[in-house]
Amino acid sequence: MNNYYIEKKLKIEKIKYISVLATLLITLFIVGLVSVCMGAMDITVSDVFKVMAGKIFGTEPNVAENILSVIWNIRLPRIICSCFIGMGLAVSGAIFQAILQNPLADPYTIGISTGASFGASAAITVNLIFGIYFPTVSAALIGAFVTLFIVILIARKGGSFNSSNIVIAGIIVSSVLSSGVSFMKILAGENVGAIVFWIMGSLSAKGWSDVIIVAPICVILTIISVFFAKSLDIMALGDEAAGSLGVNVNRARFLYLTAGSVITAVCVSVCGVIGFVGLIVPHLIRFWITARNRALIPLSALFGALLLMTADTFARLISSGEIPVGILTTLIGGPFFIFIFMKKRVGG
Amino acid sequence: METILKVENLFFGYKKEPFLKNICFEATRGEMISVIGENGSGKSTLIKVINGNLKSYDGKIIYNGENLKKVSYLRRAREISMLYQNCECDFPFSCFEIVSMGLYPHKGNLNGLNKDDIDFIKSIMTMTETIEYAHKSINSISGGQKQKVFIARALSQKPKLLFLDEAASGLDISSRIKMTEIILRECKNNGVTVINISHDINLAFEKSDKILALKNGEVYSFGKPKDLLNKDFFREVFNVEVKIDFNKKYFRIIT
Repeated sequence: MNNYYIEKKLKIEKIKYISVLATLLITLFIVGLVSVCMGAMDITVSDVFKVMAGKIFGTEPNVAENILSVIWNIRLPRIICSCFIGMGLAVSGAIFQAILQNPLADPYTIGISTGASFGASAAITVNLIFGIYFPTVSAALIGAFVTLFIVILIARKGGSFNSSNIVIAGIIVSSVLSSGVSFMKILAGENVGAIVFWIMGSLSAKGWSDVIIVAPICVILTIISVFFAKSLDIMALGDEAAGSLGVNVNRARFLYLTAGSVITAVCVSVCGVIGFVGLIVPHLIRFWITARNRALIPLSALFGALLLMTADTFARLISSGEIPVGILTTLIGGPFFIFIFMKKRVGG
Repeated sequence: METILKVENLFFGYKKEPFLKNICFEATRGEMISVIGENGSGKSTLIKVINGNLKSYDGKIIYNGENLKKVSYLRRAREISMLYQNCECDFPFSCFEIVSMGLYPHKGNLNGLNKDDIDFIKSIMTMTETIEYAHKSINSISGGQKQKVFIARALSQKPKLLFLDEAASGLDISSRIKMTEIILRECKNNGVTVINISHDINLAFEKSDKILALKNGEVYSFGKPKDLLNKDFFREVFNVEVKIDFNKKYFRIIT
């Protein structure tokens, strides 16, 4: 073995990382463009460019009014929303896997999604019964944050703030809240469909207002996580070893738990529970490319965005009734995950 | 000789019952101390207390003339390193990445590895013979190889004080001897003080400067190996009858 073997390998890894990052970015852009053109109304690529250029430079695009409206008010916000939600779920999945020291954790492990579902279903039910309008997104956000607060409270009482305490607290809170959701379903009576559809997770009818809720939080928290990603790596060695390497494990875990949960909370509140993206994306990137969170988080972000955008495009196109994308991701993601898992076992 | 670690009247207990009772000992620079004793005699607990993993103790731990409680988190990480029993890592980091994690307290979150760091890690991995599988995933190598990677990780932290909790467990005989030699070289050449929990009594008595024998959470004896090497010692500490085979140069403890 020559002396520069290590340097060479490190260089190859770096090139691999940058090329995968670039490929994902370009693919994301192309798939996004194709996705805007596809749907019930046929739209050409040049129309899309015209509309975007017009919006950016503030000029009046030379496009028919109805096409402009479909592109700008319906398809673009939905596609961009799917990008950020895919990104958010994948990033928070990577964060949860690292802080819970379990490669099979996902953004929903500690019950944030159940909290949001409870909040949303409570709002839906209350709105139905009293004929008022309390926005479901706000109710879901409140539900998610209250859940996070309670989980942290229970986990802290359990002595040290370690991963199994957090998971146990999450399981307890989550099961209580899912009974709460069932109770809301009973109260909703024959209007139970609204709750069921909300929980299934769908991106239909998402507008710019949803993008504004999701995008800044996902982007800012992702960037912060990337900056402190090394401490996430160190945590993989176990709490004690991480502590003796200078990582304040309790504090880091608390901060990352909050960051991951906030991302999850906004994603779930906007679009319901979309399964498997948060589990499968970081897992695959780790398996294929690297376990280093510094690289894993950005790659997961892009891959998650690509995955959810593609899935949502299919969900849009498959039937006129629109299958909720949450069903699609789990339906396809589940078996695919089993396949990867089996292959990994055989390969050692 | 410069005292690097001084433990005075250390008490520690889970719940109310004291588990470690009135522990006193001293370690000087470049010294290798082996901690021996039965399972459950408090060896691992003792070094976890000294390393700062277990905080609510009574008594004094003086590190380099300062109360260890006053030494900052970061400085402690830069100067004290520990290899824990049964290290595991569920994530597929490469062995190189695992070893380079030892530089974390020196580099922080934002700085990447420069050429000197890479050379340093290479030298540690060459020394510990882990360089051959530097780019393999930590999950894909054998238990003994993994253990060597974690030893390399502990050394790459550039410690002044190194705690080893059964570092040689799972290693074959040649690796075991080699690891002991590497660690001894760190002691003698770089002035690292090593406190080593060991179940390999022969190796401990042969290589250590001092032996700290624990029994039921108390120090049974602390001193040079040759002063402790007698049948009564083993009867008291381990409840076993042994035969000690003295040769001209060697001795062997036969149970």
